[in-house]
Amino acid sequence: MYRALVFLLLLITWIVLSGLIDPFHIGLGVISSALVAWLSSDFLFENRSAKLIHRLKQLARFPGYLIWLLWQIVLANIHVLRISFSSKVNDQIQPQIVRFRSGLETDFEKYVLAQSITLTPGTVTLDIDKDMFTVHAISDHAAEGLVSSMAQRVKNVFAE
Amino acid sequence: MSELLNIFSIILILSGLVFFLGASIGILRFPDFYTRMHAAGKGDTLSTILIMSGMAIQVIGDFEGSSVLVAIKILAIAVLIMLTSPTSTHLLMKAGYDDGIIPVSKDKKTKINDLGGPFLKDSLSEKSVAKKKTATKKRVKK
Repeated sequence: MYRALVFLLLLITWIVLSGLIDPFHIGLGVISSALVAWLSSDFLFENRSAKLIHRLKQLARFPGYLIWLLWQIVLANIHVLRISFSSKVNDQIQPQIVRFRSGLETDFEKYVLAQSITLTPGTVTLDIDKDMFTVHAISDHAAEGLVSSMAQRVKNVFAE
Repeated sequence: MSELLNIFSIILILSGLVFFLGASIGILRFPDFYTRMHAAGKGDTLSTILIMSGMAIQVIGDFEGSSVLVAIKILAIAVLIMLTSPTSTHLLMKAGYDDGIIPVSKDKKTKINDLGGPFLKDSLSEKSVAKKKTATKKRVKK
């Protein structure tokens, strides 16, 4: 089941990247993606016990999160831009190390949260120790935005 | 129509360039390693998205089959940068942190701001309340 899914993903990537839609090139794509799916399909999708409908639900909720994240990136980028153009930089920034527990469980959830924190300008994930996130924030404003609702949103996306 | 799309894509590319400029000036003006990494690593997320989508609109222009594929490839570059750039920034910062570079802060010492957590509705109700109770009990005993 999951092997077929990996095969389909690889084949779609092949067709988009090659751009040639004739029997010879698609045949080459089918052969090579079948080979890769047969050899190493177990690198993708860690938890095989989850049902496919469950996965589809998560997939359907993900774009909403991405749009929210993009909006946060725009806001935070404008904040950092204003800092770097201001006349006295040292008065505008309050560099600090923030430490908090996320409450997320699976590795992938933590990965998504860490990547989102690092993508929004002004905050970078320094370290994850089990559940403890260590984050460097450039200003008080960025540190406040960090914990407001991001972990809860990630949890909602991957909820049952 | 194509005039409008042209102007829109030029606006996108120009605003991307403004964000890149802000990042470069930030690298020069920020005080220490960590804050400079903020400017160096993050300036290129939003600005790459903006510039790449501006270019995709330029390419797509006349809506032919092959140009749509090229536009998808250009957007794939933006997605790839969104995945790899935070990873490399995180690794550089982590290397610096593990190596003991002390971040600049107002009171001249590493100010670790412990926010506690977890900030989830369901876990906030039981676990954290219980922990707070035990903490207050310990204080009373002392």
